[in-house]
Amino acid sequence: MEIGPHHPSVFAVRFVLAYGCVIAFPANSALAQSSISYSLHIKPILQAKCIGCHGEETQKAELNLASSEGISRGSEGGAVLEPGKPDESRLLEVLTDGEMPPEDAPLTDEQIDLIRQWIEQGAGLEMDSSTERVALNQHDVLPILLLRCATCHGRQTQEAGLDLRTKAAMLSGGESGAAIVPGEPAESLLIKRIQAEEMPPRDKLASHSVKPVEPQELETLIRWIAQGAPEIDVPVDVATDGPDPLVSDEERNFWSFQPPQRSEVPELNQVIRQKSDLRNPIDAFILDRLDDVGLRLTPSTTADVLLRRAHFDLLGLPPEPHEIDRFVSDTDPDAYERLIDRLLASPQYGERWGQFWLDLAGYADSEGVQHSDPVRPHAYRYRDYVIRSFNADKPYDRFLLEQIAGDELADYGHAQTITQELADNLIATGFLRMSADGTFAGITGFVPNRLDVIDDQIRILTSSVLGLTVRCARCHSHKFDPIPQRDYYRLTALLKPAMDEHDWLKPTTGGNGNTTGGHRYLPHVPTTEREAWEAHEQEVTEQIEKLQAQLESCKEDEELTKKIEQEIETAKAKRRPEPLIRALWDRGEPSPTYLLRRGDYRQPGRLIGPGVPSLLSKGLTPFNPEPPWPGSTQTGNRLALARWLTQPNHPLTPRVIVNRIWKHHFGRGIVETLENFGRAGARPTHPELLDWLAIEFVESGWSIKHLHRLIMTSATYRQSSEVTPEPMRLDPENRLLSRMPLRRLDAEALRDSLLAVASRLDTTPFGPADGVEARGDGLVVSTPGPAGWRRSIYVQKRRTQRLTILDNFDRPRMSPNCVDRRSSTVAPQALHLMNNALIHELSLSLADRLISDFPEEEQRQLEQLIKLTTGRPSNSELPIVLQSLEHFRTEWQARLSTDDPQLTPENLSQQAHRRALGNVCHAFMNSASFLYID
Amino acid sequence: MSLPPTQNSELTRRSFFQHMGRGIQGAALASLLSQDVFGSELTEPLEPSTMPVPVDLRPREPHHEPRARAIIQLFMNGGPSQMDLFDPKDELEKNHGKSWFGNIAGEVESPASAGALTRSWFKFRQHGDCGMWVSEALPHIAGCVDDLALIRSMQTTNLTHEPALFKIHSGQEMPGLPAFGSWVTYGLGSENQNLPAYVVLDDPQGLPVNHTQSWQSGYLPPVFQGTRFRSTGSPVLNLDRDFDEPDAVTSLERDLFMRLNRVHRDRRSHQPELDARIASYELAARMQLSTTEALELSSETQATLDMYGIGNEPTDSYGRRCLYARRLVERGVRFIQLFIDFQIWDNHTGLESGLKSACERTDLPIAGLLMDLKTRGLLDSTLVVWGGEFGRLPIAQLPGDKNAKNAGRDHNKNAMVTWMAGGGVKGGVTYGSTDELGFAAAEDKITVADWHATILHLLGLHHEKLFYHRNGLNERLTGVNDAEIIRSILA
Repeated sequence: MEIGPHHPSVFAVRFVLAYGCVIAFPANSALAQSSISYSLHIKPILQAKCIGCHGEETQKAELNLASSEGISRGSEGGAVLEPGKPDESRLLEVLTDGEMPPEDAPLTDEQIDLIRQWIEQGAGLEMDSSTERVALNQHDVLPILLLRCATCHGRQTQEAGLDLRTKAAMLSGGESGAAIVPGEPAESLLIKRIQAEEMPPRDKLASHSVKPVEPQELETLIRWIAQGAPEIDVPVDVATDGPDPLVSDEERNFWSFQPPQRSEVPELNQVIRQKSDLRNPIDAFILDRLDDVGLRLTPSTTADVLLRRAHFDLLGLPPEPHEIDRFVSDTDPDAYERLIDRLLASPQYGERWGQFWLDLAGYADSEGVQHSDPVRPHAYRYRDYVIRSFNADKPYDRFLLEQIAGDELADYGHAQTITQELADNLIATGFLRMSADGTFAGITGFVPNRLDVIDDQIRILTSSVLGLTVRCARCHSHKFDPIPQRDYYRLTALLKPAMDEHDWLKPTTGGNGNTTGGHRYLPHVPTTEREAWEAHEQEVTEQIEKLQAQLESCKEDEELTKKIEQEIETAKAKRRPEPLIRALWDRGEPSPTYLLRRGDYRQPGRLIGPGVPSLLSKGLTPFNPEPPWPGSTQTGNRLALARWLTQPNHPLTPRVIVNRIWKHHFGRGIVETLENFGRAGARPTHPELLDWLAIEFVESGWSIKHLHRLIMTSATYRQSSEVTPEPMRLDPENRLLSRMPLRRLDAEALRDSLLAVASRLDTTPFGPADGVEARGDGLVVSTPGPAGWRRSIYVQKRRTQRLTILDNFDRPRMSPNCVDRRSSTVAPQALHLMNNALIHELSLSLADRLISDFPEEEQRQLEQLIKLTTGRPSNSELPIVLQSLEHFRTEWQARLSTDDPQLTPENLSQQAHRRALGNVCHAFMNSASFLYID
Repeated sequence: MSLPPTQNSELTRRSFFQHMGRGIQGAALASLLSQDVFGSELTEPLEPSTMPVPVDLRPREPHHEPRARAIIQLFMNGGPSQMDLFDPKDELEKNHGKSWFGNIAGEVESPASAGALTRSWFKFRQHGDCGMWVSEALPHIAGCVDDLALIRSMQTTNLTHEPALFKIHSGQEMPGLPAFGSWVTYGLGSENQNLPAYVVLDDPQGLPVNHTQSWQSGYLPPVFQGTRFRSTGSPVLNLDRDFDEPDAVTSLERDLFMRLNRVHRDRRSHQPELDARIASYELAARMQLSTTEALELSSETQATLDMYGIGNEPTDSYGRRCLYARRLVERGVRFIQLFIDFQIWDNHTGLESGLKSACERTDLPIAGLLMDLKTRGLLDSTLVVWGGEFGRLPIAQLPGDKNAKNAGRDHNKNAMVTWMAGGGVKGGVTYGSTDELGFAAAEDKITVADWHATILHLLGLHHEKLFYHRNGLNERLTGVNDAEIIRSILA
């Protein structure tokens, strides 16, 4: 037992505890209790061990152990002491289980014992007792009224003329008079109605997503009114110029929280320069690291492989045979650069790269959550917007600005004409409307359900754009990164004018049990589209009116009546749904935001104002929302957020997107954890290159196409994927990019390519999604149009009915989005390609295409097949294939002549050839040379 | 920090080879092992975010000695009524007809049709050596009570089907997360490489609520997704050719593309993925044989078929699935999940006849399964779990005509009943209790996370060590809150 000699008081107390109660002192509890004093015994321990992180200046988890007031207030999670109950006290729990202090030496057993005894004795803090029982104010009752009453007496509806959102409104009351009489709870209608269980009305609880007032809530309401319904000015917690007690500058020093540094392109020595195929600065950065382990870049791959690689990377589709012929014979030194330009200009580029963004946005064509999984008929506009934006190479900063704050970019409400641009601003905000959302129904539309939707949107925003995991801070301060819980609630406050759990807009226009509240659709489609729709509807209306007039005049003629009634039905079926935009917009007047202790909506803490994560505040423009235009009722919160995010020197925004683009080209990010640039994430393999690319990207005007061009014209990208022993030994995981990785086609590229080679791909872009249907056995297929099937991005993404082929080949589920795709190799993929009827049908379509391109020319048919499916102009497989074709033909001839003995020899041989060629096509659709990109 | 279940140990490698079939496929797969996740790089601890994830079904070392090797989950969609099956309430009898809605208004899904307190429609009796109370609606299961550990005190968090189903099947109320079976197979792999590790036997008459989302793998690799086995036609999607072609042609074509694939691979050294892909085609071919064989009942005796009620109505359909479950357990399938026709236990009205019919369809087959497993010595190593997504209320829910005779009960998240039997579970135990009316769990309350943790424990997994790193977080089936293993029901 060791006791510090400089702590005589501790020794004395220990002595008392161990023996004193019985031996040295009479069994007098008052005396025993007075024996541990906060100021004498406990405070010194806290001062020595805790206040570095939980003091006046730094208050991790909002806990200040430097003052008795601070200790009494507790942390972001609530009280840290339960007087008399040491085992239920958080303070003791973290000390005993070794969680605290996190870095310094733990407290001694003696110190912990002392704290335990002190809590057991009541944990007295020697405070002035008057400070302990504080008066209530409006912020004690507002959360209750918002939660239990605001659905009918709030922003959207004031049943009986009553609004319960402010004290003034409560006093002016509704049709039955004032809701409260200050000082007289028993006379206050609010209390009477709740006590009588009339409010909230029992029969409307489920349909209106409201729960009854709980007894302790009622007690708070009564006490507040009894105290005279006091209202005070409570300061809102927003960022100030002063130091932040919750986040220190030291913590902000982590690499990814600092703006990218302009790094010099490495000077490579003469030997490397001469021996290497240096094409642009990327190669210098890569070679510099390779040289450290004694490696060089793998030599450039062949033209046909490069062409196929570039095609899949940019378009997600294979090159056509004539493109292969042209490219491999093109001797122009700039042929490859021209190819990249041509591919970047293709409208199919946006259909490929738009999908990656839709993954991040969590795009889906249905709401999910409930079994009914209602379809989102207007979501496609956002999908089309994303595709068009990628095709136009919309600067990434502008792209974000529109998606985060499109409604605050221009005054759409007063515009004479809605242009495509104005509509796009609103369509873009669909970015924050994509998560699964069950709040269309009363029973899954309660306040906690709405908070989950908001949480999902915050996750989508932060994981995609910021590369940070902010979500943990909903319940407690982040364990690894300096993200206090407060910063999460600053984000919810920031979004609140558009996403307010107490002023909720439903995700569907129709009702499903829940008949209250507005919805989240705007009518501001381009004026031309709206006028066309109106004209069409007018035409239908006139047609119906005319038919109805006819109906009046021929009442006697039963047959004619029937016929006209039928025509009316036909005419009615021509009606089109109103064109609408699923959007997010600032509605002004947000309800107050409280920090929710432990993320629990029933435990509101202090008042929080809008803001951005404090860890990223150093050296950046402060977050300063202003109404977007004079006279606007909008707060400008999200516009300020978007402008803050898209500052050229933002530490994360450019790095995160550059890293994602890199990953889609090389199969792995420079930072491997695409969504997490924080402490728990991976460190960059090439930090200088990442920064160089980020700065280059911003300076190019945030041009994604510029980045593609830069990456794809590098020697690094042009490397062969061949693996030789030396790089295998020195760079086994290819972290240093000593070669190109071999990659499997992802789900969409596979399906689209199967359709393309079979000439069954309908390339019509945009518009409402193509339907899907689930067969009895569970196979989900998409519905083809007359010209075949459209690309996968245009197939309805219904959460409960996922296209089987895409599902089998790893198309991700949105939960709430997908931050990084994974690829697997499993038996159901093999079964699908071998046995599925559609794949088989496509193989026959491909055979038909080959026969029609090269009638009677068997060898050329096969060469064309190999070129189409593997991208190779000539190959060694041909002899094997020719031989197999012959075998197939023999089998088919036997089968077909048995099935139909009447077949003419000519027909028989034609059909047998078609089926045999179909088998070869099917084999190639199952081959690795089709599924993998070198 | 614990490693995820891809531990590099010689033991794992050895046990894998023990379980691997002989022949060419074994050799082909084995060749992968030298470079894949069993490789040597794993001896050093890694940053959590870069830890490799197993993407195959090879058997993996459990966290501790398992008590059960396989699990059969009998999921009772709709929310079986606890006070009409396993939790008799005298006070409900005494207070029958009294109004009680005001006390629980916030807990009623359809307040407009809420009625008075309602006694059970069924008589209860004690059964077995243990004297467990079971209602007359379950005469056959009542005969097995000495093997059951009954839990009366489970609570869930949502009283609506969809979120409650997600909660039971994935630990959280929202869609898109890995199913329970996915977690288990992610943790343990499978002992049979020719069959899926996680098999779902759904009802040919209809999918459960949330459709196939109940067995999705969420963010875990798709290899851990539940595979539906159908009782008619081709048992697995795409298992057999969905088009007409002579067998000889199919086999010739297979020879062709396997040859093409080998040529393709031979030109590319150090690309284990290409070997894995060739292996996946070999596995697919073996699956075609073994799946068909597993679902072939002709070798079963008439006595066995009778035990499951096969060939008789209304037990035939569920009985078949129960027997399939036993056959799959025998073949080393890890996780078998039985579903029954859309919400048959959701007795909002007409509870007396509705509950009776649900019992008649399932009672005999389940008792048959328990007895059959026991006779064959499989019950000791197989965990059988029964239960729905929530319980029901002690008050009546009235039909449109307000006729109390045709009343039912509304959803209740505060009390639900579930039981376990077999692998590592103490038989004849009744755990926990509800309040005197049966509205809410009172003593020894357990959460869905506790329930998951207990089942994982029996299977040799610890709920805190079984995680998947994603988005800066070690995601777990049991979520971020603490979960307790229910020790007193363990044998």
